[in-house]
Amino acid sequence: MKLPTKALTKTAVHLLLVGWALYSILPFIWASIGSTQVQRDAVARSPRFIPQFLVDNNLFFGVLIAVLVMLFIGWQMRSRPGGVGARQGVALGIIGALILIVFIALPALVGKQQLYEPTTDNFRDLWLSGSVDNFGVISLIFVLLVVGIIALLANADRLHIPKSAVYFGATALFVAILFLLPQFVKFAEFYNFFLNSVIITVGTVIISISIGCLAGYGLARYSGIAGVVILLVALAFRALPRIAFVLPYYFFAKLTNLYDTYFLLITIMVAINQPFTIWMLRSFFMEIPRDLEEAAMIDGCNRLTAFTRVIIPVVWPGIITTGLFTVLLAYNEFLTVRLLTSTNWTLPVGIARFTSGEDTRYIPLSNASAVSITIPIVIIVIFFQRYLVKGLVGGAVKG
Amino acid sequence: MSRKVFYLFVGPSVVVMVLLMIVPLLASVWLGFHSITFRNITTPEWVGFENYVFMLKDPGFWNSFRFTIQYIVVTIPIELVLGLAVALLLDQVKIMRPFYIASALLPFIVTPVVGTLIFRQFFDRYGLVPYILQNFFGSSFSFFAPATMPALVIFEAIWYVTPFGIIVLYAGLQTIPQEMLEAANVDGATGLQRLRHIIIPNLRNLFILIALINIMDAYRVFDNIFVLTKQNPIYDNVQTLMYYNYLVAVKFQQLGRANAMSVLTVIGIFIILIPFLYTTYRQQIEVR
Repeated sequence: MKLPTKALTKTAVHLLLVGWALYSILPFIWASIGSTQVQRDAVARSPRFIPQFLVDNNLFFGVLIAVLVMLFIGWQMRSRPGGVGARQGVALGIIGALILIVFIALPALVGKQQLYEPTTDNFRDLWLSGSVDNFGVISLIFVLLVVGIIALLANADRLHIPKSAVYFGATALFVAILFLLPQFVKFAEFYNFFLNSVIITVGTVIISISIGCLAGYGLARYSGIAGVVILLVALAFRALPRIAFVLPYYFFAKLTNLYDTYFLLITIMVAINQPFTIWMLRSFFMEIPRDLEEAAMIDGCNRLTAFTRVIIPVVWPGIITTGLFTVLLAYNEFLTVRLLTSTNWTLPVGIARFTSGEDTRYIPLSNASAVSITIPIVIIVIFFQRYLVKGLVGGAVKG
Repeated sequence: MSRKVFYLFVGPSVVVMVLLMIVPLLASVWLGFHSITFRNITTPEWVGFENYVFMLKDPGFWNSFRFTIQYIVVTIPIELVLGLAVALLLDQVKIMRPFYIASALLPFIVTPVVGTLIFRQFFDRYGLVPYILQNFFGSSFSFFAPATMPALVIFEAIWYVTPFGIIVLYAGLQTIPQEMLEAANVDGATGLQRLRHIIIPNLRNLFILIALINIMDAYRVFDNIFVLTKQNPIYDNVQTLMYYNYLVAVKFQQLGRANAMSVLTVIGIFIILIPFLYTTYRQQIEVR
């Protein structure tokens, strides 16, 4: 009998890739498990990592997860030429059966010492201070509002208003909700860090992208030597370590009372991000043919109106890509915030306080905070993956 | 575009960069000539080149320099090999590719402090890896002894930077002309021969680029060390340049010396950057 070499190779490739994916995300999964444990379970001699309810209802969860995984893979196959054929069906069946078998065997596989009783207390302790009477209602309204905003953003194309108005409006709405929320719920300190993170991120993105767009467009269309000089200086700045800027800022901030203010942090992040922003936006503006604005200028636009009315609407995908990287920079920044603030911490600095020392009480809380800060990033990776890849490649290949 | 309009467009950005990057850099040089601690921050005292000489003689500085070099030399080749391997695998599949890319990207995109934190939990006393190792080999094993710390830091670095290599090389693979690979197939080239004679030469520029970007990034590794070592001074063998710079500023409270050190580091980076800046300059002049 001839072995189906091609199918075997494909399977091997997929197995290796699944292995790599697991290597990348297992620490995240481990942290999510840890975030639902009480301290006693978190520091157990042999790790307890299987939630009790999974073993109690193993058949139900086995079927559920097998079906979900099969649906997901089947959905991924839909773009395949020829659709889901017989062989793919068999492969799907094997995967589903394997998952089911693992779950059926689960009670026999795990001993008592691997089980734990999951809890949501860590998240409550992290975010809330004291109990909240109508927490269910408020969180439901909040989730609905956020989903509404996301739906608005996703359908920005179909509305008959300028996209920038939609984006700014949605952002303003979101920030307003976050500011109003403490009126109804008693939050712990962690919410303030979150709010600071949001303010600094939003401020940085808006300012950085606005001036970056102007500069990127200018650099893409001007052919004098000054443009090259600015690009080279920017490139050199992109390579410099942050501490070279932050230390003098620390000195100035202490002298001028700007220490520990949003203004200082936002300005610094705009500056740190500017070299990268103008390089990336310039590469997006260069992809747009010059004829476009020339036609607009013949029709009576000047440079600026041609830029705002004709060029910007075309370059939105590029702006979103650059904006995403700016969001990540401002959201993830640690050293700058740590050195230049004493109370207005952002999330990374707030979390870092769990990381020093050997006190095991903080292990569940630090896991819960890690999960909390990572969720927005996971959403970004899932929904904006294409933009991220484009940005990484564009920034690298052209920059 | 006329020069006047160009300056109007570029103006805000240039003002920001001059005011917020060039001025601080010059200030850094100036502050390096002073003795400043947190006590006399309003009245710095001029000491000339003393800080620069002190830093150049400081064993801690050279220690961190050595570790940074070690970090670069070990991390980048592994990143390139692993990155190319995974990129080649990704190139083979269509189904599930977005899922693989998304999960591979996550360590690179996540907040470095948090990524390192959960990586640490994974290897810590109560983590999964020591548990598995103990079950397989029977002996308990600590990754957090000072002797094994450099290995752990570098392992974490690989976990963190490889996604960048994967994505860039994967995109590079898409740009290799298909006819070239097909012609090689017709001529009966094996997979390995194709890799050696077509794929690797075509990706050469990208390898250099990834290496360069990572050399620049290796200078600024801070968050990872900060979290992995729990700021415990016994791990003085894994201090990177930026981390040591931070220690000089915050722990030893010597702002003047810290500024002197960052100026020295910046000079070092500029020397590395010169060839890169030069090639970029040539490219941009051509594009123009």
